[in-house]
Amino acid sequence: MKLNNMILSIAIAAIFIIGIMISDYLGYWQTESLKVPQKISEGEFEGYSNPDDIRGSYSLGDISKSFEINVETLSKAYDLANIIEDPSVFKVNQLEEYYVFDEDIELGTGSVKYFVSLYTGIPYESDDNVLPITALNILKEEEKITEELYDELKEISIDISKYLITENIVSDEITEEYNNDDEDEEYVIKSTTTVLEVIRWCTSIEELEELIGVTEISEDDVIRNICLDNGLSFSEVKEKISISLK
Amino acid sequence: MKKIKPRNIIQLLFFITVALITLAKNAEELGLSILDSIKGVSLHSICPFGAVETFYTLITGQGLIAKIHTSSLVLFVILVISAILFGGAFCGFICPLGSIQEFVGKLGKKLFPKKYNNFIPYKVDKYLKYLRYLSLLVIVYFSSYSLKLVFADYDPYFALFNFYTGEAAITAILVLVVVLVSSLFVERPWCKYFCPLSAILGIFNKFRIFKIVRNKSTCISCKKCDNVCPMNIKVSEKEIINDTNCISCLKCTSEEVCPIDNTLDMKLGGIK
Repeated sequence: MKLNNMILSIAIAAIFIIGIMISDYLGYWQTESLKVPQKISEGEFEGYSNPDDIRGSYSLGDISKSFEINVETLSKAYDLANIIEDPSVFKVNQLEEYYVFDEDIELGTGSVKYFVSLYTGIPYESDDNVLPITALNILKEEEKITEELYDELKEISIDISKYLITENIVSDEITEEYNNDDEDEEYVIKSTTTVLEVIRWCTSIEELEELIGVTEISEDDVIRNICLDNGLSFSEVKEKISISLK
Repeated sequence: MKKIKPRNIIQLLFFITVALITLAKNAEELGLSILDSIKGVSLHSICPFGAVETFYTLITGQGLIAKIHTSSLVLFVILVISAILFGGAFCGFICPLGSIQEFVGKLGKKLFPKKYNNFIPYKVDKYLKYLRYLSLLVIVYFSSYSLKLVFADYDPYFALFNFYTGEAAITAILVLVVVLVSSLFVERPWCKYFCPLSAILGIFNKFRIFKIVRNKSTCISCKKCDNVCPMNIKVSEKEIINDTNCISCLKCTSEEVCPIDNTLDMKLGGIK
């Protein structure tokens, strides 16, 4: 049996296409993360899920499954219980958009990793961990940390309720549930909103520069970063832009 | 006008497919709804080499390395099946990085009609080819050690489809540029000397089911097969072309360059 160019071309393409179709049918064709953190491979905690491998795309539900922490506990730790109907689908990276700080603080994946580590006792090392006071209180109430550690961490914890940006809706599902005003939703300035996006909402880069009070901004710049770089209050700038767009 | 070969059509189709998948992914991240049917598919998820990078973490029960998904494992299994059947045909027919090098090489052939693909002496070339194995070992070691896709920062394949997105590291873009410029002098330099995936696939050339076989009794030793081989294999000195560099492009066969019918062909089991 001889193979020529045509037969080999068809055969090799068919193997790949049919192979993918079969694996898809069998449920093995996953092109997105299974949202399962890696296991620790050695030492005292061998076989346990590694908090360091929690990623921004993981939902509270994913974390709950891997680390056996109630979704309710996680949502209470980040004060989401009253504003999110289904916290199990809330993604860790959405925290950064919910809580916006004027200072150079970021409440996001690192914080969740740290909370999970303290809650489960599985080690995780990082220098840049911000814990909300709500999370710290849970750790104390459930006796996951010592009094000494609680006092130590309390010094650097944050009262996040002051920073919650309730109008800063970040996912489509949540938007639908919590913000029925489509027109307002269209002009929401998020922590990831770029200059280009704002310009698309009927303004010019010059007008925006004048409004923010910063010159030489480029279309790719993120509004929040411009504020941080120039010592401006993101909340105030956000408000100014929102008013000008209405 | 030169006839377009089916292999070139397959190369083009797979190249376009991968380019569209990357485009859809980037459009999705920009909030644009184009190519919605393939959104969510990343370049990492459709690269079979991801399975090799995560092999150690997988067998040691640590799960998959970040950004690697089961689709990479599926593709690797399919790749192994295709390699058992046809050896390195994936490189010659499907791999978009191989295709782009081949395309640039066509320009190189015009620039250096006689010297093209012969700039590196055979004695040096045959040792340089072992760099692929070193590349494979280094990548697997560091990926397993760091639990990250360390190769992505140097990966010309990733840079090829992401150079415009800002996701590709400058080092990867530089490697891509070096590979493409080198392709003007040497055919498929990445595949030949550095590609860790071709290092694995090449091993299957030793025991593949469909083999490229030279009929010694009808061969006139014109060496046209040697000259046309992109991987610098001395085809005319072998009866079964089981060199680990063979990409099964079929350029050497009687269907293409060999002037004598039934002298160089790909056959089941290498049976004459």
